Amino acid sequence: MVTVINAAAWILCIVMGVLLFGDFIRTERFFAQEKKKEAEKEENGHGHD
Amino acid sequence: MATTEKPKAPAVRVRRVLGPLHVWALGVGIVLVGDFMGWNLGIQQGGSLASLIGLWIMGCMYAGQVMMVSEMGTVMPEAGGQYTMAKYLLGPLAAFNVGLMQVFEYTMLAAGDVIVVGQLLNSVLPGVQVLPFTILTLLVLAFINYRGAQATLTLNFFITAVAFISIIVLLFSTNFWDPQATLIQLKELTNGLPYGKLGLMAAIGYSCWFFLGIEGTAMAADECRSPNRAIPLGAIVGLTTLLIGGTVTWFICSGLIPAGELGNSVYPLYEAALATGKLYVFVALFVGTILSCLASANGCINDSSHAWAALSRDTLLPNLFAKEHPKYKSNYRAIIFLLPIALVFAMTGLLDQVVTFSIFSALMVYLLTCLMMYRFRKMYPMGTVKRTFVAPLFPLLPAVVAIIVVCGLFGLHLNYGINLISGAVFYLLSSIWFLKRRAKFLDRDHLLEPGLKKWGKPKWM
Repeated sequence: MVTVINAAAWILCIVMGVLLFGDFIRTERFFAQEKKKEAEKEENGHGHD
Repeated sequence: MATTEKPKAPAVRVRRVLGPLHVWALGVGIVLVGDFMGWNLGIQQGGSLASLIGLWIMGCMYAGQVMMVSEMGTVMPEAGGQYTMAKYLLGPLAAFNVGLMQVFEYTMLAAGDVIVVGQLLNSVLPGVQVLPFTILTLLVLAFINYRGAQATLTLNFFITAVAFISIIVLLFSTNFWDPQATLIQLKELTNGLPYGKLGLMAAIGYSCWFFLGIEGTAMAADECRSPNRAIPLGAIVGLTTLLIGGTVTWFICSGLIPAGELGNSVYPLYEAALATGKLYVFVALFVGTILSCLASANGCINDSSHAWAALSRDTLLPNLFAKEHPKYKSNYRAIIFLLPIALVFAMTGLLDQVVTFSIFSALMVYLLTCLMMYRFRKMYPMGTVKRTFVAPLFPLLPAVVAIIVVCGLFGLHLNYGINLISGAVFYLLSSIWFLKRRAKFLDRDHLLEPGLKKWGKPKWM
């Protein structure tokens, strides 16, 4: 019984870690893409000048 | 000639959703855990009477802190508590240190809370491993904070209320009002002052544990609908709640457990519940202890991430930590950055070491607050700026508060001198890093923008 509880706790640790860091990585990628888009827009703007 | 690039600070877009009840829950939620564990070290160091005297002396110190912070806070051109005050009254280096001390005060407190959760579960089910539950608790609370402050603090309100009710359940289960049926041993309530004045000083240091973190209420000012009303009201009601809770805790535990045993107890209230021999009290206190630890760690993660993001927004730290989550509007980078620090300290399982670093950081902030109060009255004498609250007994009040804080530090040094020196060296090295590596990136105009508009340049500029 105690072994099951311990194993469940470790599995939940992994699940929470994946949820937390998964969203963090997705958010960072989102910001990186936004930055890239802005840079491209700026570059195109300068090109027309 | 090389030019120094000054990063532009990002605009702040935090949702203003919190009221006085949330502020009360945040303040008491962080601190209530002090009733469930740790405070009884004061009994071990100075006897039960010293612990009670220490509780009330520290209560006076915190009342003084609240009054000084309220006077300065209502005049400050922006919210943020002692950190903002240090920024305007003492300068960037002091602000950096106050911010850093608050971050570590809360991060260490969160680590201490999750250590207790793991160890309490292990005490009930001896085969259960402490480590996975310690890590799991911290990850779950970090995840809740990651998803935004409103859900976090509404949850805090409920778990704080349940934890406080569990203490009241324990009090009434002792039949304290009936001299015939009471379980409280009134004749053995105190063992006096077995270690004299030195013991009393040591007890004062540990009595700080009953209130430590209540000043964190100021951290939520950015998210309050009406910070000028919500912050002082929430802090004062919170302080009163803690003083009542602390006195009731001392009374129950001292009345049910002999002072010699109580001083060494890991979970004093839980042991007091066992001493009543009533199952429902035992269950209530188990739940109360777990919930108070969760509420405390929850509020601490919220406060530490706010403090870290504030340092970053003001360019005292690299501005990457100030970025908000696009969906949840939380300080998500600050939460993720501070999580491994809390995890590492929690995984050591050294509760007393973690708690000592937290108390030391808090006491240093309180000491600087006294200095700020003198500076504030010198820079802005009475009548020169409009105050909505005036702290009484100046210049005596900050002096008395400072003396109590120094007594607390002296008391701590009696058993944890090395820890205090290590903490001081850490803040000294951080200050050197700030002066050598970070100060050149400081955007002074952005740092004091609201104040410059209101007052012009402060004296240190």
